[in-house]
Amino acid sequence: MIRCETVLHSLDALRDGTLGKPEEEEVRDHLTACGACAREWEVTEALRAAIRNRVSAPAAPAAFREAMAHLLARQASPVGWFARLQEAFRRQPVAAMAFAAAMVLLVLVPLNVWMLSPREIVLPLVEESINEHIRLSLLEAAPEIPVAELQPLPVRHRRRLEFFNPLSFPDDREYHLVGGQVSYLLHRKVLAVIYSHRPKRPITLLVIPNAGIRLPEQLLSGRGKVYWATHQGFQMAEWHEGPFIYSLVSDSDEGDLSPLIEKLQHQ
Amino acid sequence: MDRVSLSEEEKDRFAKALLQHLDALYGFAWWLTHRREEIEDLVQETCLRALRSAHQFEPGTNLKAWLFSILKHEWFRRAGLAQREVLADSFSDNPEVPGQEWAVEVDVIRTALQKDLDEALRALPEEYRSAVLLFDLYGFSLKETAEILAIPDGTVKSRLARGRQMLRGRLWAYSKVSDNDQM
Ligand SMILES: [Zn+2]
Repeated sequence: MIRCETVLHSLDALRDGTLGKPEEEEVRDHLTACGACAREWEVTEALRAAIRNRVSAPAAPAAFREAMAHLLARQASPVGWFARLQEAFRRQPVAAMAFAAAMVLLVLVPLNVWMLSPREIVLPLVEESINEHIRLSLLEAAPEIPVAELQPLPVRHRRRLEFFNPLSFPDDREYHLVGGQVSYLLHRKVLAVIYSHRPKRPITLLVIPNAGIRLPEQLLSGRGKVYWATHQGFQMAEWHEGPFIYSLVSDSDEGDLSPLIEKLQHQ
Repeated sequence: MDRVSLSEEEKDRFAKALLQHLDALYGFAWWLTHRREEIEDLVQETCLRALRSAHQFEPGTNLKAWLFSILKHEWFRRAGLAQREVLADSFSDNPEVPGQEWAVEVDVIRTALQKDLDEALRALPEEYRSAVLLFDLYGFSLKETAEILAIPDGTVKSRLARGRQMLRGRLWAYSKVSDNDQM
Protein backbone atom coordinates (compact mmCIF):
# COMPACT_ATOMS: atom_id res chain seq x y z
CA MET A 1 0.00 0.00 0.00
CA ILE A 2 1.42 3.38 -1.07
CA ARG A 3 1.63 6.03 1.65
CA CYS A 4 -0.20 9.40 1.50
CA GLU A 5 3.08 11.23 1.93
CA THR A 6 4.54 9.51 -1.13
CA VAL A 7 1.41 10.26 -3.15
CA LEU A 8 1.40 13.94 -2.21
CA HIS A 9 5.03 14.13 -3.23
CA SER A 10 4.23 12.57 -6.64
CA LEU A 11 1.32 14.82 -7.65
CA ASP A 12 3.37 17.28 -9.68
CA ALA A 13 5.13 14.46 -11.48
CA LEU A 14 1.67 13.07 -12.25
CA ARG A 15 0.66 16.46 -13.72
CA ASP A 16 3.92 16.50 -15.61
CA GLY A 17 3.39 13.01 -17.04
CA THR A 18 6.80 11.93 -15.80
CA LEU A 19 5.75 9.18 -13.40
CA GLY A 20 6.51 5.63 -14.49
CA LYS A 21 3.52 3.58 -15.67
CA PRO A 22 3.04 1.32 -12.62
CA GLU A 23 3.67 4.21 -10.26
CA GLU A 24 1.15 6.40 -12.07
CA GLU A 25 -1.53 3.74 -11.76
CA GLU A 26 -0.80 3.31 -8.09
CA VAL A 27 -1.11 7.05 -7.45
CA ARG A 28 -4.36 7.29 -9.43
CA ASP A 29 -5.83 4.35 -7.53
CA HIS A 30 -4.88 6.00 -4.26
CA LEU A 31 -6.55 9.27 -5.30
CA THR A 32 -9.86 7.52 -5.90
CA ALA A 33 -9.65 5.74 -2.56
CA CYS A 34 -8.19 8.37 -0.23
CA GLY A 35 -10.32 11.46 0.47
CA ALA A 36 -7.52 13.49 2.03
CA CYS A 37 -5.21 13.14 -0.97
CA ALA A 38 -8.09 13.70 -3.43
CA ARG A 39 -8.96 16.95 -1.67
CA GLU A 40 -5.35 18.08 -1.83
CA TRP A 41 -5.32 17.32 -5.55
CA GLU A 42 -8.50 19.28 -6.15
CA VAL A 43 -7.47 22.37 -4.17
CA THR A 44 -4.17 22.50 -5.99
CA GLU A 45 -5.87 22.06 -9.35
CA ALA A 46 -8.23 24.94 -8.51
CA LEU A 47 -5.26 27.08 -7.54
CA ARG A 48 -3.38 26.22 -10.72
CA ALA A 49 -6.43 27.03 -12.82
CA ALA A 50 -6.87 30.38 -11.05
CA ILE A 51 -3.22 31.23 -11.71
CA ARG A 52 -3.40 30.18 -15.34
CA ASN A 53 -6.65 31.99 -16.08
CA ARG A 54 -6.46 35.10 -13.98
CA VAL A 55 -2.82 35.96 -13.48
CA SER A 56 -0.98 37.80 -16.19
CA ALA A 57 1.98 40.07 -16.65
CA PRO A 58 2.22 42.98 -19.07
CA ALA A 59 3.46 42.27 -22.60
CA ALA A 60 6.54 44.04 -23.92
CA PRO A 61 5.63 47.62 -24.89
CA ALA A 62 5.60 48.24 -28.65
CA ALA A 63 8.49 50.71 -28.54
CA PHE A 64 10.65 48.27 -26.61
CA ARG A 65 9.79 45.43 -28.97
CA GLU A 66 10.75 47.57 -31.92
CA ALA A 67 14.02 48.62 -30.33
CA MET A 68 14.86 44.99 -29.55
CA ALA A 69 14.07 43.89 -33.09
CA HIS A 70 16.49 46.50 -34.44
CA LEU A 71 19.15 45.67 -31.91
CA LEU A 72 18.96 41.92 -32.53
CA ALA A 73 18.94 42.33 -36.29
CA ARG A 74 22.05 44.50 -36.02
CA GLN A 75 23.76 42.00 -33.73
CA ALA A 76 22.80 39.07 -35.94
CA SER A 77 24.41 40.52 -39.05
CA PRO A 78 27.09 42.86 -37.80
CA VAL A 79 28.75 42.94 -41.21
CA GLY A 80 25.91 44.88 -42.78
CA TRP A 81 25.38 46.43 -46.14
CA PHE A 82 28.41 48.68 -46.01
CA ALA A 83 30.90 45.81 -45.90
CA ARG A 84 29.05 44.06 -48.66
CA LEU A 85 29.19 47.21 -50.74
CA GLN A 86 32.95 47.41 -50.18
CA GLU A 87 33.26 43.84 -51.32
CA ALA A 88 31.24 44.64 -54.43
CA PHE A 89 33.41 47.67 -55.06
CA ARG A 90 36.47 45.50 -55.29
CA ARG A 91 34.82 43.29 -57.88
CA GLN A 92 32.64 45.65 -59.91
CA PRO A 93 33.67 49.27 -59.27
CA VAL A 94 31.37 50.99 -61.77
CA ALA A 95 28.20 49.05 -60.99
CA ALA A 96 28.82 49.45 -57.29
CA MET A 97 29.23 53.21 -57.63
CA ALA A 98 25.97 53.51 -59.51
CA PHE A 99 24.30 51.38 -56.89
CA ALA A 100 25.72 53.50 -54.10
CA ALA A 101 24.48 56.69 -55.77
CA ALA A 102 21.02 55.18 -56.15
CA MET A 103 21.06 54.14 -52.49
CA VAL A 104 21.92 57.68 -51.41
CA LEU A 105 18.87 58.96 -53.27
CA LEU A 106 16.64 56.15 -52.11
CA VAL A 107 17.61 56.20 -48.47
CA LEU A 108 18.74 59.70 -47.58
CA VAL A 109 16.05 61.71 -49.35
CA PRO A 110 13.03 60.04 -47.77
CA LEU A 111 14.87 59.97 -44.44
CA ASN A 112 15.34 63.72 -44.63
CA VAL A 113 11.70 64.32 -45.47
CA TRP A 114 10.69 62.09 -42.60
CA MET A 115 12.90 63.96 -40.17
CA LEU A 116 11.52 67.29 -41.28
CA SER A 117 7.93 66.22 -40.98
CA PRO A 118 6.86 67.00 -37.43
CA ARG A 119 3.79 64.78 -37.40
CA GLU A 120 5.81 61.58 -37.66
CA ILE A 121 7.89 62.50 -34.66
CA VAL A 122 5.20 63.88 -32.42
CA LEU A 123 2.78 61.00 -32.66
CA PRO A 124 4.94 58.38 -30.96
CA LEU A 125 5.40 60.80 -28.05
CA VAL A 126 1.65 61.33 -27.74
CA GLU A 127 1.07 57.60 -27.91
CA GLU A 128 3.78 56.69 -25.42
CA SER A 129 2.79 59.46 -23.01
CA ILE A 130 -0.71 58.06 -22.89
CA ASN A 131 0.58 54.55 -22.29
CA GLU A 132 2.74 55.78 -19.44
CA HIS A 133 -0.18 57.71 -18.00
CA ILE A 134 -2.37 54.61 -18.07
CA ARG A 135 0.37 52.48 -16.57
CA LEU A 136 1.06 54.91 -13.73
CA SER A 137 -2.61 55.46 -13.02
CA LEU A 138 -3.10 51.72 -12.67
CA LEU A 139 -0.36 51.37 -10.09
CA GLU A 140 -1.95 51.37 -6.73
CA ALA A 141 1.29 51.56 -4.83
CA ALA A 142 2.84 54.94 -4.21
CA PRO A 143 5.31 55.88 -6.90
CA GLU A 144 8.94 55.37 -6.25
CA ILE A 145 10.22 58.87 -5.56
CA PRO A 146 8.47 60.34 -2.55
CA VAL A 147 7.39 63.94 -2.95
CA ALA A 148 9.77 65.10 -0.24
CA GLU A 149 12.71 63.99 -2.34
CA LEU A 150 11.52 65.53 -5.55
CA GLN A 151 12.67 68.96 -4.54
CA PRO A 152 15.51 68.80 -4.95
CA LEU A 153 15.73 65.56 -6.90
CA PRO A 154 17.90 62.82 -5.42
CA VAL A 155 21.42 63.05 -6.73
CA ARG A 156 21.24 59.92 -8.85
CA HIS A 157 18.25 61.34 -10.71
CA ARG A 158 19.64 64.84 -10.88
CA ARG A 159 22.52 63.53 -12.90
CA ARG A 160 20.05 62.36 -15.52
CA LEU A 161 17.66 65.28 -15.56
CA GLU A 162 18.37 68.87 -14.57
CA PHE A 163 15.32 70.96 -13.80
CA PHE A 164 14.85 74.67 -13.88
CA ASN A 165 11.40 74.81 -12.40
CA PRO A 166 9.87 73.25 -9.36
CA LEU A 167 7.32 70.59 -10.14
CA SER A 168 5.37 70.53 -6.92
CA PHE A 169 3.20 73.24 -5.42
CA PRO A 170 2.70 72.28 -1.78
CA ASP A 171 0.13 75.02 -1.13
CA ASP A 172 -2.06 74.04 -4.03
CA ARG A 173 -4.81 71.53 -3.20
CA GLU A 174 -5.98 71.42 -6.83
CA TYR A 175 -2.74 70.06 -8.24
CA HIS A 176 -1.26 67.96 -5.54
CA LEU A 177 1.90 66.09 -6.50
CA VAL A 178 1.69 62.47 -5.42
CA GLY A 179 5.13 61.26 -6.43
CA GLY A 180 7.10 60.15 -9.43
CA GLN A 181 9.68 57.89 -10.93
CA VAL A 182 12.37 57.79 -13.54
CA SER A 183 11.54 55.49 -16.40
CA TYR A 184 12.06 55.10 -20.13
CA LEU A 185 10.05 56.58 -22.97
CA LEU A 186 11.02 56.39 -26.64
CA HIS A 187 14.37 55.01 -25.48
CA ARG A 188 15.09 58.11 -23.41
CA LYS A 189 15.17 58.53 -19.68
CA VAL A 190 12.04 60.27 -18.58
CA LEU A 191 10.81 61.68 -15.31
CA ALA A 192 7.17 60.82 -14.74
CA VAL A 193 5.23 62.49 -11.94
CA ILE A 194 1.58 62.25 -11.01
CA TYR A 195 -0.69 64.95 -9.71
CA SER A 196 -3.91 64.02 -8.03
CA HIS A 197 -6.48 66.43 -9.33
CA ARG A 198 -10.13 65.71 -8.94
CA PRO A 199 -11.09 62.23 -7.69
CA LYS A 200 -10.23 59.63 -10.34
CA ARG A 201 -8.71 62.32 -12.52
CA PRO A 202 -4.96 61.94 -12.15
CA ILE A 203 -2.70 64.05 -14.29
CA THR A 204 0.65 62.71 -15.44
CA LEU A 205 3.55 64.97 -16.25
CA LEU A 206 6.39 63.52 -18.29
CA VAL A 207 9.65 65.39 -18.63
CA ILE A 208 11.74 64.02 -21.44
CA PRO A 209 14.98 65.24 -23.05
CA ASN A 210 13.93 66.85 -26.31
CA ALA A 211 16.91 65.69 -28.37
CA GLY A 212 15.48 64.75 -31.75
CA ILE A 213 11.89 65.67 -30.91
CA ARG A 214 10.45 68.90 -32.20
CA LEU A 215 6.87 69.94 -31.67
CA PRO A 216 5.19 71.21 -34.85
CA GLU A 217 5.81 74.96 -34.75
CA GLN A 218 2.70 75.86 -36.73
CA LEU A 219 0.43 73.98 -34.29
CA LEU A 220 1.71 75.56 -31.08
CA SER A 221 -0.91 77.80 -29.57
CA GLY A 222 -1.16 80.55 -26.98
CA ARG A 223 1.51 82.48 -25.15
CA GLY A 224 2.92 79.31 -23.68
CA LYS A 225 3.34 77.78 -27.16
CA VAL A 226 1.54 74.59 -26.22
CA TYR A 227 0.77 71.73 -28.55
CA TRP A 228 -2.70 70.44 -27.71
CA ALA A 229 -3.92 67.04 -28.77
CA THR A 230 -6.76 64.70 -27.97
CA HIS A 231 -5.95 61.07 -28.53
CA GLN A 232 -7.81 57.90 -27.47
CA GLY A 233 -10.01 60.10 -25.30
CA PHE A 234 -7.09 61.57 -23.35
CA GLN A 235 -6.27 65.23 -23.26
CA MET A 236 -2.63 66.05 -23.94
CA ALA A 237 -0.57 69.19 -23.76
CA GLU A 238 3.07 69.39 -24.75
CA TRP A 239 5.60 72.18 -24.84
CA HIS A 240 9.32 72.89 -24.92
CA GLU A 241 10.98 73.87 -21.67
CA GLY A 242 14.72 74.42 -21.99
CA PRO A 243 16.32 71.16 -23.13
CA PHE A 244 13.15 69.22 -22.28
CA ILE A 245 9.73 68.54 -23.55
CA TYR A 246 6.99 68.62 -20.95
CA SER A 247 4.10 66.36 -21.74
CA LEU A 248 0.90 66.42 -19.71
CA VAL A 249 -1.77 63.75 -19.98
CA SER A 250 -5.11 63.75 -18.24
CA ASP A 251 -8.35 61.87 -18.26
CA SER A 252 -10.12 65.19 -18.05
CA ASP A 253 -10.49 68.19 -20.32
CA GLU A 254 -8.40 71.12 -21.40
CA GLY A 255 -9.73 73.39 -18.64
CA ASP A 256 -8.08 71.13 -16.05
CA LEU A 257 -4.68 71.31 -17.65
CA SER A 258 -4.37 75.03 -18.41
CA PRO A 259 -3.82 76.25 -14.81
CA LEU A 260 -1.18 73.56 -14.26
CA ILE A 261 0.62 74.50 -17.47
CA GLU A 262 0.70 78.10 -16.31
CA LYS A 263 2.23 77.07 -12.99
CA LEU A 264 4.82 74.84 -14.61
CA GLN A 265 5.77 77.51 -17.12
CA HIS A 266 5.82 80.56 -14.88
CA GLN A 267 7.46 79.43 -11.71
CA MET B 1 31.63 18.50 -33.88
CA ASP B 2 31.15 21.41 -31.56
CA ARG B 3 30.18 24.50 -33.48
CA VAL B 4 31.79 27.75 -32.45
CA SER B 5 29.43 30.12 -34.18
CA LEU B 6 26.44 30.29 -36.50
CA SER B 7 26.25 31.71 -39.95
CA GLU B 8 24.76 35.15 -40.40
CA GLU B 9 21.59 33.64 -41.78
CA GLU B 10 21.21 31.21 -38.88
CA LYS B 11 21.78 34.03 -36.42
CA ASP B 12 19.14 36.10 -38.13
CA ARG B 13 16.66 33.25 -37.89
CA PHE B 14 17.59 32.75 -34.27
CA ALA B 15 17.04 36.45 -33.53
CA LYS B 16 13.56 36.19 -35.02
CA ALA B 17 12.81 33.14 -32.88
CA LEU B 18 13.98 35.08 -29.81
CA LEU B 19 11.54 37.87 -30.51
CA GLN B 20 8.64 35.43 -30.39
CA HIS B 21 9.35 34.93 -26.70
CA LEU B 22 9.79 38.61 -25.91
CA ASP B 23 6.40 39.00 -24.21
CA ALA B 24 6.96 35.95 -22.04
CA LEU B 25 10.43 37.14 -21.04
CA TYR B 26 9.12 40.61 -20.34
CA GLY B 27 6.32 39.17 -18.22
CA PHE B 28 8.64 36.95 -16.21
CA ALA B 29 11.04 39.86 -15.65
CA TRP B 30 8.06 41.91 -14.51
CA TRP B 31 7.42 39.32 -11.84
CA LEU B 32 11.03 39.54 -10.69
CA THR B 33 11.15 43.32 -10.54
CA HIS B 34 8.49 45.97 -10.98
CA ARG B 35 10.89 48.63 -12.22
CA ARG B 36 10.34 49.13 -15.90
CA GLU B 37 13.89 50.34 -16.43
CA GLU B 38 15.24 47.18 -14.88
CA ILE B 39 12.81 44.92 -16.74
CA GLU B 40 13.93 46.30 -20.08
CA ASP B 41 17.62 46.11 -19.21
CA LEU B 42 17.17 42.55 -18.01
CA VAL B 43 15.28 41.37 -21.10
CA GLN B 44 17.70 43.14 -23.42
CA GLU B 45 20.71 41.57 -21.73
CA THR B 46 19.02 38.17 -21.88
CA CYS B 47 18.40 38.42 -25.62
CA LEU B 48 21.92 39.65 -26.37
CA ARG B 49 23.46 36.89 -24.27
CA ALA B 50 21.26 34.32 -25.96
CA LEU B 51 22.27 35.55 -29.39
CA ARG B 52 25.95 35.53 -28.47
CA SER B 53 25.74 31.96 -27.26
CA ALA B 54 23.21 30.80 -29.85
CA HIS B 55 25.60 28.03 -30.92
CA GLN B 56 25.24 26.47 -27.46
CA PHE B 57 21.51 26.05 -27.81
CA GLU B 58 20.54 22.49 -28.65
CA PRO B 59 18.04 22.50 -31.51
CA GLY B 60 14.96 20.48 -30.66
CA THR B 61 14.99 21.47 -26.99
CA ASN B 62 12.75 24.13 -25.50
CA LEU B 63 14.04 27.55 -26.58
CA LYS B 64 11.72 29.36 -24.19
CA ALA B 65 13.04 27.40 -21.21
CA TRP B 66 16.60 28.12 -22.30
CA LEU B 67 15.87 31.86 -22.52
CA PHE B 68 14.16 31.84 -19.13
CA SER B 69 17.20 30.22 -17.56
CA ILE B 70 19.44 32.93 -19.02
CA LEU B 71 17.12 35.61 -17.70
CA LYS B 72 16.97 34.04 -14.27
CA HIS B 73 20.72 33.66 -14.17
CA GLU B 74 21.19 37.29 -15.22
CA TRP B 75 18.74 38.41 -12.54
CA PHE B 76 20.63 36.51 -9.86
CA ARG B 77 23.88 37.98 -11.08
CA ARG B 78 22.56 41.51 -10.87
CA ALA B 79 20.78 41.17 -7.63
CA GLY B 80 23.98 39.71 -6.20
CA LEU B 81 21.97 36.78 -4.96
CA ALA B 82 23.52 33.41 -4.52
CA GLN B 83 21.33 30.47 -5.36
CA ARG B 84 20.32 29.83 -1.82
CA GLU B 85 18.10 27.79 0.35
CA VAL B 86 15.40 29.71 2.14
CA LEU B 87 15.19 29.52 5.89
CA ALA B 88 12.06 27.82 7.02
CA ASP B 89 11.05 30.55 9.44
CA SER B 90 11.09 33.32 6.86
CA PHE B 91 7.44 32.66 6.07
CA SER B 92 6.09 31.90 9.48
CA ASP B 93 3.58 34.76 9.29
CA ASN B 94 1.40 32.89 6.82
CA PRO B 95 -1.87 31.60 8.15
CA GLU B 96 -2.78 27.97 7.60
CA VAL B 97 -6.17 27.01 6.25
CA PRO B 98 -8.16 24.91 8.71
CA GLY B 99 -8.53 21.39 7.28
CA GLN B 100 -12.26 21.01 7.78
CA GLU B 101 -13.10 24.03 5.59
CA TRP B 102 -11.93 22.37 2.45
CA ALA B 103 -15.04 23.01 0.30
CA VAL B 104 -15.07 26.67 1.30
CA GLU B 105 -11.43 26.95 0.40
CA VAL B 106 -11.93 25.56 -3.09
CA ASP B 107 -14.67 28.14 -3.51
CA VAL B 108 -12.43 30.94 -2.24
CA ILE B 109 -9.76 29.96 -4.74
CA ARG B 110 -12.19 29.63 -7.64
CA THR B 111 -13.60 33.09 -7.01
CA ALA B 112 -10.37 34.84 -6.04
CA LEU B 113 -9.94 38.21 -7.69
CA GLN B 114 -7.04 38.80 -10.03
CA LYS B 115 -5.89 41.61 -7.76
CA ASP B 116 -5.72 39.25 -4.78
CA LEU B 117 -3.94 36.56 -6.75
CA ASP B 118 -1.39 39.10 -7.97
CA GLU B 119 -0.86 40.42 -4.49
CA ALA B 120 -0.53 36.96 -2.98
CA LEU B 121 2.02 35.96 -5.61
CA ARG B 122 4.01 39.16 -5.11
CA ALA B 123 4.10 38.51 -1.40
CA LEU B 124 5.79 35.11 -1.85
CA PRO B 125 9.53 34.91 -1.30
CA GLU B 126 11.08 34.98 -4.73
CA GLU B 127 12.27 31.37 -4.76
CA TYR B 128 8.75 30.12 -4.24
CA ARG B 129 7.18 32.63 -6.58
CA SER B 130 9.54 31.68 -9.42
CA ALA B 131 8.83 27.97 -8.99
CA VAL B 132 5.06 28.49 -8.95
CA LEU B 133 5.09 30.89 -11.91
CA LEU B 134 7.30 28.66 -14.05
CA PHE B 135 5.41 25.44 -13.40
CA ASP B 136 1.84 26.60 -12.83
CA LEU B 137 1.64 29.73 -15.00
CA TYR B 138 4.17 29.26 -17.79
CA GLY B 139 3.65 25.52 -17.99
CA PHE B 140 7.26 24.44 -17.91
CA SER B 141 7.90 20.84 -16.91
CA LEU B 142 9.45 19.94 -13.56
CA LYS B 143 12.75 19.25 -15.27
CA GLU B 144 12.70 22.55 -17.18
CA THR B 145 11.75 24.45 -14.04
CA ALA B 146 14.64 22.81 -12.21
CA GLU B 147 17.03 23.78 -14.98
CA ILE B 148 15.83 27.38 -15.13
CA LEU B 149 16.19 27.79 -11.40
CA ALA B 150 19.39 25.74 -11.30
CA ILE B 151 18.12 23.59 -8.43
CA PRO B 152 17.44 19.83 -8.10
CA ASP B 153 14.03 18.42 -9.16
CA GLY B 154 13.23 17.54 -5.57
CA THR B 155 13.75 21.13 -4.46
CA VAL B 156 11.35 22.30 -7.19
CA LYS B 157 8.72 19.97 -5.80
CA SER B 158 9.11 21.19 -2.25
CA ARG B 159 9.14 24.85 -3.33
CA LEU B 160 5.96 24.28 -5.32
CA ALA B 161 4.27 22.65 -2.36
CA ARG B 162 5.38 25.30 0.08
CA GLY B 163 4.68 28.20 -2.33
CA ARG B 164 1.16 27.02 -3.03
CA GLN B 165 0.57 26.51 0.68
CA MET B 166 1.50 30.13 1.27
CA LEU B 167 -0.70 31.32 -1.60
CA ARG B 168 -3.63 29.41 -0.15
CA GLY B 169 -3.03 30.95 3.23
CA ARG B 170 -3.02 34.44 1.73
CA LEU B 171 -6.15 33.93 -0.33
CA TRP B 172 -7.88 32.49 2.70
CA ALA B 173 -6.85 35.50 4.79
CA TYR B 174 -8.07 37.94 2.08
CA SER B 175 -11.44 36.22 1.95
CA LYS B 176 -11.82 36.61 5.72
CA VAL B 177 -11.01 40.32 5.44
CA SER B 178 -13.61 40.87 2.72
CA ASP B 179 -16.18 38.91 4.77
CA ASN B 180 -15.60 41.34 7.62
CA ASP B 181 -15.93 44.31 5.26
CA GLN B 182 -19.39 43.22 4.31
CA MET B 183 -20.59 43.06 7.88
ZN1 LIG C 1 -3.89 9.58 0.82
